[in-house]
Amino acid sequence: MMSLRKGLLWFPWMVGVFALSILARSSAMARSTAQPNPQQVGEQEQALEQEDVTSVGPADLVSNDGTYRVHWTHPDGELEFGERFKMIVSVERSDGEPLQSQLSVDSRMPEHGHGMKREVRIVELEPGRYEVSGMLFHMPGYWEIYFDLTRGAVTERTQVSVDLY
Amino acid sequence: MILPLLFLVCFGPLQEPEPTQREPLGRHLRQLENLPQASGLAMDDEGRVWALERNSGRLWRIEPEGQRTLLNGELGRPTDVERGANGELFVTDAESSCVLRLDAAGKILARKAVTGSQLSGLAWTPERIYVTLASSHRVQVLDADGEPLFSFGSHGSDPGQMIAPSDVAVAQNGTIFVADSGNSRVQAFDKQGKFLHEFGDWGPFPGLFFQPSGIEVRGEEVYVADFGNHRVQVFDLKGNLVDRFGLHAIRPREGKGYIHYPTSLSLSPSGEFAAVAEPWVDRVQVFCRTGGVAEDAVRRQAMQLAKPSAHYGMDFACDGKFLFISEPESHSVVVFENSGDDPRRISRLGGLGRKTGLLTGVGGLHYDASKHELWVADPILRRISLYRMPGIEQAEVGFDALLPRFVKSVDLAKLHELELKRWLPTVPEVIAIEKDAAGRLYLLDAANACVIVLAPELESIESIGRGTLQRPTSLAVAADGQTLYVADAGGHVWAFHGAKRQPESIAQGFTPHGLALDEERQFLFATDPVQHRIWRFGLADKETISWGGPGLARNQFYKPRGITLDHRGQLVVLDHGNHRLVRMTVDGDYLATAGPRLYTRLLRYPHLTDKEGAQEEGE
Repeated sequence: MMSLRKGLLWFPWMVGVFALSILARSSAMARSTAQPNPQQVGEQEQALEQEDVTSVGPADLVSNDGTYRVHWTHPDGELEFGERFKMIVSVERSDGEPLQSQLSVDSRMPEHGHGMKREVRIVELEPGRYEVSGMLFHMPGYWEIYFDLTRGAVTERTQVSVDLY
Repeated sequence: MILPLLFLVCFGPLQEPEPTQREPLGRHLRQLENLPQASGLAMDDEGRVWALERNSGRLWRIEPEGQRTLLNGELGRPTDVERGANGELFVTDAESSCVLRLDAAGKILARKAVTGSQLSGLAWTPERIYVTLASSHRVQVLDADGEPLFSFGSHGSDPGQMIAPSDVAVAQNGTIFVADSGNSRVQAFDKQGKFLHEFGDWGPFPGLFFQPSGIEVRGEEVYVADFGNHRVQVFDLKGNLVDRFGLHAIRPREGKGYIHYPTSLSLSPSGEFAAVAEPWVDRVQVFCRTGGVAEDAVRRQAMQLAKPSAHYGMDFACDGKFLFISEPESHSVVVFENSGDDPRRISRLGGLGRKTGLLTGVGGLHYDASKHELWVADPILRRISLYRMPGIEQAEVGFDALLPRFVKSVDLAKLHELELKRWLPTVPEVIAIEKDAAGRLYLLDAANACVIVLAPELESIESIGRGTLQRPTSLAVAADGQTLYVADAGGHVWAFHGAKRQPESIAQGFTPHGLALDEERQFLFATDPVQHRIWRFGLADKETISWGGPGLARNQFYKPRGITLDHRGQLVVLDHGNHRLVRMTVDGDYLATAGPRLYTRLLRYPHLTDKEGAQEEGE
């Protein structure tokens, strides 16, 4: 027969086992209540698939104050992180006046507060048409590409969003 | 024979006298209170301090026991002081752009004009005098008689260039060290002003700076007052970090070795004492090597691990349901949704950088709620930038970094080159922006002491106030653009009326900083950071009232700066020294407060009376 002293030694173990069984049971109940129906699962997977697709903003852009129209393409194919790419950028003024503006290009991740690690090279192919090389997104996520046009003392921005996955 | 030789070899070095290692500087010795806008400092080896008051033009000599002697009370706007030979003193006066030579009793012996603007720092050697010119972004070297020899530096961030240099010091070997405040670094030059090397960069970590403000060299050590990091850092002549002292004050006006926004720094000739000026709290603290009180080691460790805390800057804008406040630590503007009692942080814009859309400094904000447009002035990069916000309904949910969108910027150096240089001698340094109903922009230019008006197409139209304004700090513009009001720290609030912009002094006898005009043009409100008060001028009935006083209670302020009226017609005051916003009626009745510090939240407990609140917050 187990002595009282030995019984007292077993007591904490029994309490622990009881607590663990309660925990396991409540966790199983929580899982069972959180089980979505098959239709919900389908929708979630679809949403996840959509989020994982790189999405690139439109090719035809208007500058943030409406002064310029910018058309851009990336002829090397789909944009991917860690891959250098080039862009062909065409610029014209919305009011039809001669351009007389200087283009600079940059890209940033505004939610992370940083930009690209590299400087880009811009070559004017013909008046208002440029080749921009050396672009590289060094990590996946939300990027913005900036086409800044400077005329006199004023620089105006045109921008496009890239969700890169 | 061998034994004595062996003895000498083994024990000889022990008999050599070891060089005495001095205790590091940084033990708190005493503090000198009630020195309004304490700026330049000098010290001697007995522990005497010579201290300037920038706004009142006073020069004090303060004995170690605390007795004060007013040496001169008419020094214009003195910025720095150095002791020369035979007890003579040299003072830079930014008002007259002169270097003054004074005898030991404070009498002016000579006055030498320096070409350039905003004399900020001074170094004296028996052969030469060195002066930093903050708005001219260079160092002027004079001979011992104050005659110009040469200058070096230009605006920019390349080696040898500088932005708003704040002070200069010279080592025994002739190397010139410049506190390059706008670039948050120290640059070293040879005797001829040729660039040698630089150290530091922007940041809170050891060895980095947030606008170095004062600099001294003693022996092989360079001491740098690090304004925004609230400390003094010590480097060797090559720029290697050796030591630091001073910790960021936690409680308002804490002192006792904890420093807040140090500007000027002076060491005694032997380097035994250091004095640090804190104009933010109108105080000078004296540090020593032995005696005094050491830093609390536990708190030092805790604060070194803490991330830098954000402060409200001096500039803010409020219109509609958005509120924008500059945040110096992040070089950004924080966006708040302001429809309720408690402004809610919803986004930020800018961030440190020279690229388009980023900010290095924030010198003025204006928000136009009808167009959702925010103009931000950056006096360091010398440009103004426009950002656009979405409607308030789109900004209802949580924090979103993508809310503001950069639209365009104006490069003021380029605008000066193309248009403004016909009227204005130097590139504008914009510290405040306003806009009228017709879309004209009014830029308050500290460098040329005037207001520049730009058409909506951003072409310059006119400049206002040149010759009248001395040290403008802010402006308010009537919606029709017919009258504009300018606060001038020279002691006036000016009104410029009509097409001829006729000047009229509508208030004087105090030091205004921020201005706000109500829509009906009944009242003009001004903040007074010297008396810690708010002034209300009746534009129709000419009645003037004021309220406030120094402190933390509901109707008290500490160096209030910005002021505006919100969409409810209530006054919002940026109580800068207390790191908080205070909302009140136009009659000065307290309504609410908001801010990042815990003590501002105590004010919300309605059961506390002002006195109880003040006691609780103060303790």
